[in-house]
Formats: sequence, structure tokens, C-alpha cells
Amino acid sequence: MAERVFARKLSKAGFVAVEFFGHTGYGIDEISDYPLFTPNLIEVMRQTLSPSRQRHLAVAVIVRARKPALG
Amino acid sequence: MIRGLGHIAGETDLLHQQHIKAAVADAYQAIGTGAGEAVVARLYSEDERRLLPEGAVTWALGVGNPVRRAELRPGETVLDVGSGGGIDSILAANFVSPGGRVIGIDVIEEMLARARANAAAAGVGDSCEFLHGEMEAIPLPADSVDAVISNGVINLSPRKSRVLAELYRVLRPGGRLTMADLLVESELPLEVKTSDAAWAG
Repeated sequence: MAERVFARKLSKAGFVAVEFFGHTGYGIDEISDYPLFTPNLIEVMRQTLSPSRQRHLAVAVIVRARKPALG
Repeated sequence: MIRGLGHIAGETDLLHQQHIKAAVADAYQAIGTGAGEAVVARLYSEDERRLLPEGAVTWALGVGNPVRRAELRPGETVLDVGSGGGIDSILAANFVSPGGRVIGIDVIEEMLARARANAAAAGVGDSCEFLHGEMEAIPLPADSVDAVISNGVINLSPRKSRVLAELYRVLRPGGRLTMADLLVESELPLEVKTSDAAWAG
């Protein structure tokens, strides 16, 4: 899911003051640290993605938002 | 006829969602360890690391450090969605004590047991409670928590709008959501997108 889509979902749920920060790129090297990404999936990614995409698969972000106060 | 097709499409979507939920749960139950020290060293400071027992480090599976940005205060009630091995619940408990508490929810019973043991080992067992529950149907009343934290979990749900509605429901007016997650800005190949492991990761 893209950032703009997630921001829209947060707003639709009622959240305000939505902010995204701390963007950190995740490539195959980073996700390989997580056992949930199986060796088979990592291999598929290496075979199907360009070298540059392999270095920038996803972005980790911190998202902050608030439920509006009463009144 | 159109209504009939729509009904079938709805059932197909529901089956797809159930398949994804089951695949994610299976993947988490199948792993024998978390991401461990490599990820903890990347996401947490030395001071934070010193608060964590080895079990919490071993089972770290997050992608960020939401507690650091959550502005937690003593006395607050915090919900940790997808608490896993308890790493962020333990850190949050240190901020909300004295007087506050952390409620972690997870769908994996083994993770709940690990989180309870790790919180006890960290000395914050009395201020942490870990409950079985889905993020799409959080087992807490409305307006009951001051802050929600989550780390690499919301993205696992095939019903993200439903999850966000639940987070909104349980937060008190003025309450804060602080979460870390992975976002993908451009399409991945079909072979990757349709992999159960990609959903679980």
C-alpha cells in the first residue's frame, strides 16, 4: 500500500493530524533478516526484480495520527 | 444477474481475506525465531536495548520504533496491536509506569506466552497484560486507551480500513496512534504479490 492511500484510509477512519516520518528504505538485504520472508520468496524477488528495485522494495515509516478531542 | 455476480464477488473477497489471515497466522506460527539482534541493533538505542530481556530481542519482528515517537506519559493506558514477543510493550511499560498499563493483543497464542514471559523477565509483568484478539475486532471497549502503538502489523491485515476503524473506536477522544509499518510505492511482480510469504512479511 502506498503512503497516500494509507493517509486516505486514516482520514476516512476519522483520524486527524496524520503525519508520516522516519522514512527508511528496505531492500532485499534488510528483509532477509526477517524469517517471515522465506528463502523461496527472496529467490523469486532476486529473479524478478531489477537490481535497483531489489535495493528499494519498500519504505518503513512511522505514522502518527490523533482521534479528535471532544468539543 | 448483476446482483448475483456481486454476491459471488463478495464471497470471493471474503474467502481471499480469510486465506490471507490464515496464511499470515500459519507463517507466524511456523517460524522458530524472530529477526533478533540484527533488527534490534538497527531500530533501538543502547539505552532501550538494556531494558530488554534476550527473549524480547530474539522475537523482535518490527520495522521501526513507534514507542520512541509515541510521547507516552506515566499513568496512561497503551494498546500494542500485534504485540508479538512483547518488545514494544516492555518499552512502553517503562514510560507509563507508575500507574499506567500496557495491553498487548495478538492472535498467536505462542506469541502471547512469550510476551508474558518476556515482560516478567523485564520486570514490567505487573503493568502488562496480553490478550488474544484480532486487530479487526479488538477485545476492548470504546474510548478505553490513551495511545495505540503497532510495529509492522497493520499491513498484514487484508482489511486495513476495518483495523483503522477499530483503532479509532478504542482510542479515547484526543488519543494518539503511533505505528511503524512498511509501505510499497510501486507495483511488485505478480509472483511476489501472490506469495503468502509476502503477505506474512
